[in-house]
Order: sequence, then structure tokens, then C-alpha cells
Amino acid sequence: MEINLKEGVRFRTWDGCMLVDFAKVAGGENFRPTTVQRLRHRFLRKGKYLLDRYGKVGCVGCGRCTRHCLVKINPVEVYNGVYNRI
Amino acid sequence: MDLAYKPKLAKILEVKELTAREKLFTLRLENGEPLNHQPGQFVEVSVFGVGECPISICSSPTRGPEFQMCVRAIGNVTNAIHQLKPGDYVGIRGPYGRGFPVEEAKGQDLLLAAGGLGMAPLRSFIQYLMDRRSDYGEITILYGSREPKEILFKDEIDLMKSIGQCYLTVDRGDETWQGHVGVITTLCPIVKVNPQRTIAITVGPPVMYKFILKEFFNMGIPEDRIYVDLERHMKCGVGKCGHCQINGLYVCKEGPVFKYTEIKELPEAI
Repeated sequence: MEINLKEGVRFRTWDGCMLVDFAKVAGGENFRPTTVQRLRHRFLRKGKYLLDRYGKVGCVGCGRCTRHCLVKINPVEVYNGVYNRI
Repeated sequence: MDLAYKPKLAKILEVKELTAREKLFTLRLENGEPLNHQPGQFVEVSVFGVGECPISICSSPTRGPEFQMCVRAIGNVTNAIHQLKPGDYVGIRGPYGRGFPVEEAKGQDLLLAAGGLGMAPLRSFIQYLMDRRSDYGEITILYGSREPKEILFKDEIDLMKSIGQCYLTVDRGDETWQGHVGVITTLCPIVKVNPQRTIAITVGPPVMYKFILKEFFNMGIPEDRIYVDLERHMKCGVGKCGHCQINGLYVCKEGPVFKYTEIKELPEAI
């Protein structure tokens, strides 16, 4: 917001749990430094942690990730797999 | 409507330089109300136009409406905080999280181990113990720093010694240092505690926990009497963003102080 209260900019940055510095703290320690840990966290969070906490999974199954995934990972299948195993 | 992200204004009353990197800020909310925090809780501090970051409260709620924060200049926001002067305003959200086990520890002996900046959150509890000394048993404080010049709250060490045993150590001494040299775990063999009566609490850099816990087990302290303060990047403070998550736990809600038995099965905790 500029000082004349009429102009300003809307500033947004990307953030997401798959990005390398998502779990990094100011001291320099990164609690999920590897892709494997971040991928595991993403699927467990949406498929297990949120389910345990709120009784609903964090994925509505719309299929957009599946359609765009270059390496043909189907998150819906992953969540179902997570659900069946734990 | 409850606006979780709306900060309250707080005025900086005093700024004190503790070391080359850390400053101690004394603040009071603009409306004059006390923060009503528990020892070990944290607040989200916003510097207007810069950003927001989680900072531990390092003074006890028993000390009136003013509260203190020990801030190390290490990132964008904390460097901006260091530029602030008495009379400047910051935004405060919180307090958030679950603090130290003040109730569970009543009548028990306490073993407190702090490494480096871990002294900041622990000081809120130590001050609380000073003010409620008769509620607690024997108190032992272990404090490790990298170098003598990095020791925080140097002028309060004598006060800490007045409520119990207080052992200091530094990783590297210098020509003026007379005390113990070595990492904090090297203090543990000289400490005598009654493991069945003792509640052990540790706060420190992430690398410290594994080693200090091993020492606690060697002393015979049961797992359910050990508490760890696991600080993460609590970005939102209200359990939404997930930055601070340790597996399924939100540090900003269930923590930052956890009982060891709550987190020992979690691979991301220690």
C-alpha cells in the first residue's frame, strides 16, 4: 500500500509443501530436505493426517493432478492405497 | 468474528543488546492488557511492510503486562526487528501453542537443559520458577553455548543459581573463560538427580536432542517424564499452513513442548 492510500501492489509468492524450503527454519535446519520426505509428507498429510484429525481426506478426487502428471502418478490411487494400508 | 490473522499493536519499551547477534526486546500491548501467555508459548511478530515470524516469549506471565522476546538477527524479519527502537510498534498475534508443563511439574524436581538460543523460551519458565519457587522441588539448570561471548542473559546467571544448581558450559573457551568446556552432554555425568522425582525438559538446536535424550535415559529418567521443546517454522500459528508439521502434529497447536512419549514414534521429530 502506497502512502497516498490509493495505489498499491498485490504481491503473492508460491508456497507449497513440495518446495525444498517449506520445512526450513531460520537457523538453517531443514526438517524435510529430500524429495522422498516431502512426497511422503504430502500424501500422508492429505490422505492420513487430515483424515485422522477432521474425518475427511484432503483430496476431493477431481483428477486434475492425474491429468497433468507427466510420470502418470494418480493421486487418487495413492490416497486409496494409503487408506487401505493404514 | 474472530480474526485469527489480525495482529494486535504492541509498543517496544526497551531494547537491550545481549550478544552480537541477539537483542532483548521489552514490549507491551497497546491496549495495556497482559498477553496472558504460558511459559514456553510463542507469538507471531509482524514488522509492518516486511513480514511476520514466530518468536518465543522469554519472560514469565508472572511479571506483569510487559513481555520480552529474545531475537537473533538471522532472517528478513528478524533483521528488521533489530532495526527497531524503543517507541516503535510491531504487530503481535498470539500467544500460541502449548507451553512448558507448569502444572504437571508441581512438587517435582526439575532438570532443565538449554542449548544456545534454547535459553530464550526456557527463560520464561525459569522466571516462572523463580516467582513460584515453593511449588517446585530441586531445580537443576544446564546451559550450553558455543562461546563465552554467546551466553545469553549473563547477568541473570547468578539469579538462576539462587533457585537451584546451574551448570554452564561452552563448546570453545577463550582466555577469560574459567568454567566447563565441552558440549552440553558432558555436563550430564556430574549432575545428580533423583530420576523418579525429576521432570526433564530440553530446548536447543535440532542436533542436540538425540544426544541429550540419550543422557537423560542414562540417568534413568522415565520416558514419560521427559519433555522436549521442538521449534519449527510456525508460520501461521493456528494449525493451517503446515510449515511446522511433524508428521501429523502441528507444532503451533500441540507443541512446541511435547512429552517425549508423544513424539518418539514420529520419524520427523528428532
